[in-house]
Amino acid sequence: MNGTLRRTRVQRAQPWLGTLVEIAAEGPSPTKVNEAIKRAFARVAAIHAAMSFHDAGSELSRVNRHAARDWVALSDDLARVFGAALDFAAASDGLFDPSVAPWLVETGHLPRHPDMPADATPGWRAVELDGDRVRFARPLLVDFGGIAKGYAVDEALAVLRDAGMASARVNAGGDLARFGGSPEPIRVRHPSQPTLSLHLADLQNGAVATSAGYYQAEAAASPLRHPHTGGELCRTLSVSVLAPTCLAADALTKVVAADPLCASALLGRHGAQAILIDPSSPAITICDGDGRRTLPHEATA
Amino acid sequence: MSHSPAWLIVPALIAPAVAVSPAYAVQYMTAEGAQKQMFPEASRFVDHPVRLTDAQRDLVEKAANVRMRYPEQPVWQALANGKPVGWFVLDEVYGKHEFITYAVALDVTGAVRSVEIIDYRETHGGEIGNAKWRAQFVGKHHGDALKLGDDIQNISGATLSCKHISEGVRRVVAIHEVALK
Repeated sequence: MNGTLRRTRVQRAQPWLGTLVEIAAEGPSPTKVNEAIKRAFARVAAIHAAMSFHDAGSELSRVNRHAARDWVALSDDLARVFGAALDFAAASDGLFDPSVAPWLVETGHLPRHPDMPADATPGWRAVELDGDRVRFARPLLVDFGGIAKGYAVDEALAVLRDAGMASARVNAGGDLARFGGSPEPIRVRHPSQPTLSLHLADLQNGAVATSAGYYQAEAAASPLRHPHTGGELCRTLSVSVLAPTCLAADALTKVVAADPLCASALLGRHGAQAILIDPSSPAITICDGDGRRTLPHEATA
Repeated sequence: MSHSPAWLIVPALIAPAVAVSPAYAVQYMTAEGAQKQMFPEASRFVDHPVRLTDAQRDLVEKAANVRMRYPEQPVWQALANGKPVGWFVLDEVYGKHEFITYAVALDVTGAVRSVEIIDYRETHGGEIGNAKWRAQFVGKHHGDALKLGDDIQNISGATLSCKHISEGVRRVVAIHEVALK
């Protein structure tokens, strides 16, 4: 608050997208800010309803059920996310793959829907997207768990920007984007001590997403898989990506986790930077379009 | 105003004195604030706590497939011009790492209108069983909630499942079914 400029800041949270979505915004009056946050949550709710793999009645579930038989028409949101997911899959040669759901159904990370193809196997190249319709060349299970949260964060933030907020932040379980105000510190959990956090960066306008295996330690397997081998990723490594959009940050964390060496060019193309924290190593790796560099890091676990 | 991406990877990250926050806690609103947000049309909230009989409790646990932890559930009926418009239910859930107080707004038929987080705190496991630690939360239901700092909010990778909230909402819906219809 400075001088005569009066602003109200409101911060709220609701459960969506399988996590807690937190929205904070600063604007001219409590009514205006709350109204904008309400509309932003409604946008998140609509994207959740369209893209839920868990909900057998979602638009995505309808696609998974029918697209191997015939073209299925897509809403604007789903068409955009299909397009972005296929772009990332192609650009990363499948390191980002939206069709690995059968593995996650097998391990219990995703539910098994009895009326969906039981013979689906990963293979994003079998997705044929034609504008606002899609079909699968063979049975597939598509899941946008690696990108939908990022998309929802970007869309919610756009609602807040259009509503004239001076600054705003949307954080969907660690997929975070913000604009306006002063740069804010971004923290990331310590990969082996998740109740501790490390100050990662100061962010003004842009997004950050993190993939890590913490809180999965008790589970039988990490839900993050290497698309080429099916091997588990991020058992201990924490990967954060800073990018202009949260969709890019979200998708790129999966590419970097699968293969940090190959990710450099793709990070550069998206104007993104990755930060890798390996608790077993005394160094932090920063990876971007210029390549990789290692920084000493004395605060190991 | 341009919104070009801007960030700075903090040099402090590589210094020995890495900033560590021991836990994460944030209060989003008070119970009263949540009532106003979730029922903007309501003019009055009538205290209507639900105390379940053993039989009702069994029914709720069976319908929701979740255990009832507390015998009494704080509930208010929302009224607009004297007419019921729904129910406001306060609930809390905790998992291994988090403790969450939240509110569920039900319409007159018992359908969920909205869910709003009141406050959220992460824990170091073990604290949950500590009576002194739990005592911090006493009184929260009456709106005199704790004042918590909000300088530790931007955590990337804060992915905790909202499984417990989903279960809690199921339980709240079942409570309406057996005790508020």
